[in-house]
Amino acid sequence: MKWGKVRKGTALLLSGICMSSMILSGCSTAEEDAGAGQETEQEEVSADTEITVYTPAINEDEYGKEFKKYVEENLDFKVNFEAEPLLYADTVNKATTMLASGDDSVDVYFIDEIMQLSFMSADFLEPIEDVVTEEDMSEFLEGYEDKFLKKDGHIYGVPADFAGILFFVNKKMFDDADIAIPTDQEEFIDAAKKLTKDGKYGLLEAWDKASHLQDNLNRWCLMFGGNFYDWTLDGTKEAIKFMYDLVHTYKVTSIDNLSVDYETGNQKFVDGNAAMYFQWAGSVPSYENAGKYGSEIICAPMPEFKTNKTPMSSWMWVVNKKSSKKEAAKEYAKLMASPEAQALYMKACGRLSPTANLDVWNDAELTDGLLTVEEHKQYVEDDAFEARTLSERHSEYMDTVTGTLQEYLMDEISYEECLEKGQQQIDELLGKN
Amino acid sequence: MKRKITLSRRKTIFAWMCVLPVLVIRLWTTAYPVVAMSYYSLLDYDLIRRKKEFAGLQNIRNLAKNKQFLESLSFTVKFTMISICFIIVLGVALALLMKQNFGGRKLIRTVALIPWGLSMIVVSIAALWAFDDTYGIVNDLIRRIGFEGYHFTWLADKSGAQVAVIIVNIWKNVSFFAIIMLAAFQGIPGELFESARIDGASNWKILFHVSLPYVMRTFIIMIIFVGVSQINSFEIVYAMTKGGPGTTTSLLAYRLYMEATKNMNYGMASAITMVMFLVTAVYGIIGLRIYRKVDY
Repeated sequence: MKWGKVRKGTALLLSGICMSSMILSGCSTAEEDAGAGQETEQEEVSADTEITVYTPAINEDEYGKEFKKYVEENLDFKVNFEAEPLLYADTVNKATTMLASGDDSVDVYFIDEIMQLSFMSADFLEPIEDVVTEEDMSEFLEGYEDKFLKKDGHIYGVPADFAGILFFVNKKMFDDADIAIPTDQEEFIDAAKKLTKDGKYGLLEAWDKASHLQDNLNRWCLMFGGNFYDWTLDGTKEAIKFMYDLVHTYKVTSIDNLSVDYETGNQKFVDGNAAMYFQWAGSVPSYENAGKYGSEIICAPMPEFKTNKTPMSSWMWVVNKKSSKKEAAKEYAKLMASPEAQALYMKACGRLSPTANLDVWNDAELTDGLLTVEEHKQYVEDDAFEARTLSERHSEYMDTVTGTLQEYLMDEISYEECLEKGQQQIDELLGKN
Repeated sequence: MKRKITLSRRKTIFAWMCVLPVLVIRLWTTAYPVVAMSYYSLLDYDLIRRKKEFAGLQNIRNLAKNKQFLESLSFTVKFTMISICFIIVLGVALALLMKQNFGGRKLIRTVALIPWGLSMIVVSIAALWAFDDTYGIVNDLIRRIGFEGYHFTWLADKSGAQVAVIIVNIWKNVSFFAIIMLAAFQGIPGELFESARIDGASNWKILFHVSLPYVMRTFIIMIIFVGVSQINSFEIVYAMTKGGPGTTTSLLAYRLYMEATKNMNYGMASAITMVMFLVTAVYGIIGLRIYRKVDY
């Protein structure tokens, strides 16, 4: 082949791309592509209306049937439930792709706070305050609404559950070693050291990069009075150093935690490979299914370091801005704020977490079947929960900033380098907004 | 006056009518995304900031300074080169082994096919457990072959994670390469081997001077094919390491995924796609030029 021909072909290809780019650049605006500015034609709500709700699979058991029946009886239209993927990362990908492409096949999404903040910023969601009022959410955790559900005075979501990172201990290991469950930092380190023996560790941590390391960093920062979005604070610095010391100085947890996600971690904890584990309440069904919860694995009060704070989180119902059945979708969201729907849903999808509506916690009938309600009540009484501090760029945080922390935990970079690089990455990603 | 359409012209029109639907679908599913991606790569297009402005080559310039992207590029090159080398050597060896006449040959062929038949995502999830320090079969096997007390945290070590990802990738892809090469080797006429033996050629000489040259075109096509798939690998790190620890196993396709679905920065994601597209195109063009020069 002659090079002249190749050059001609390349030039032709490039000019073609440039031409097409110029033509395309006139086709849409940022706001339009980002989802704003285009009103979809709305269908009036009638008995023939059908909405699609994207949610973790509703079980086919009695709870599932009861929930579906409740929805059917309380709404004048049909609700179809579409199952989300099992893995969190897949759920994020699917929801983001569908919303970003302007898809209207799903009317209501069930998402967490990280997605909520990004989606609100990207203008993917429909405000719902005309149907779901602040009064509907008066029984929810104070301050939560302002942090995650509101933007520019509009309400965008209805929280469904309330799950905190709880302090789980293997009571059998503590009893066998005749050690008391730690209540402060000193006792915690002491117990972890004593219980690290025979190939078992005093502490198990999920430090996988996908999501779990940032949860744990957040918690340690809260416990030391820091903030994982500000690495200049003494509390944050202390927390980061403490995480390093757990592996390298006290040697009470394994560096292999860097590849441990919640699923792997739960299995290791159920198998008795570690004595203590800070984990979301949502893991309790797996301890329960293994026949260990209550007998071997128990939830203990948060040990008091500088503070006894631990993060809480909630998943929520939101309405797709591109939905052609927004009114019906909002009606569904409003229904989901009711105490009955909150409790029934938690049971129907098998999460079994306490509900976001705190009023439900004191209703024995509604909470029957839910797990860790009493534990959560105790934590609330101890003032242990704190809503997470997140940003619209939190997914990016989970990739970049926690990557830097992993490098430090692996001893690839020094403590000072870690703090400097981490803060620089935080400044960069927050500066993008 | 009506012009009469000749038979050959009618045949041509008919052929175009048959091909046209496929061409339209192809243009819509291939050409359009390529053009759209090229266009997006020239924009500052960020859904979170709700921004979509022409930025020229700013995304490419940003990539050139972006440490994470450069690390991803570096690991992708390493991953591709090492994987291709091992896939070629082991694939040819496996193909030659499967070509021999021996008892259990059918079983070996069947077993060799298993990795190819498995989905990469399934393999990667299984590998995550296989390389686990507590439950992992890899550490256990090493201990059983005489290294008592051996313990290595594969996925929590920078080099360990890279090695683990590459090993799994090679294991998954060797069988496909071997099967295609086996089919090519079986197409070599027996007389060629007989003549070589009469001339006193050793087995090695037959391999390098008869067998490999005869299958060279298939061999090169396979290297192009496998190489392109390695450059675009994604599932293995998505399921096995999430690009970590740190950013050590973050392949280009994984970085692209992070930019597109997590950071919602379509401009940057398209610029990464553009880089991958160009790298793949250059690799393919070089491969095809070599292919055209081979004449056996």
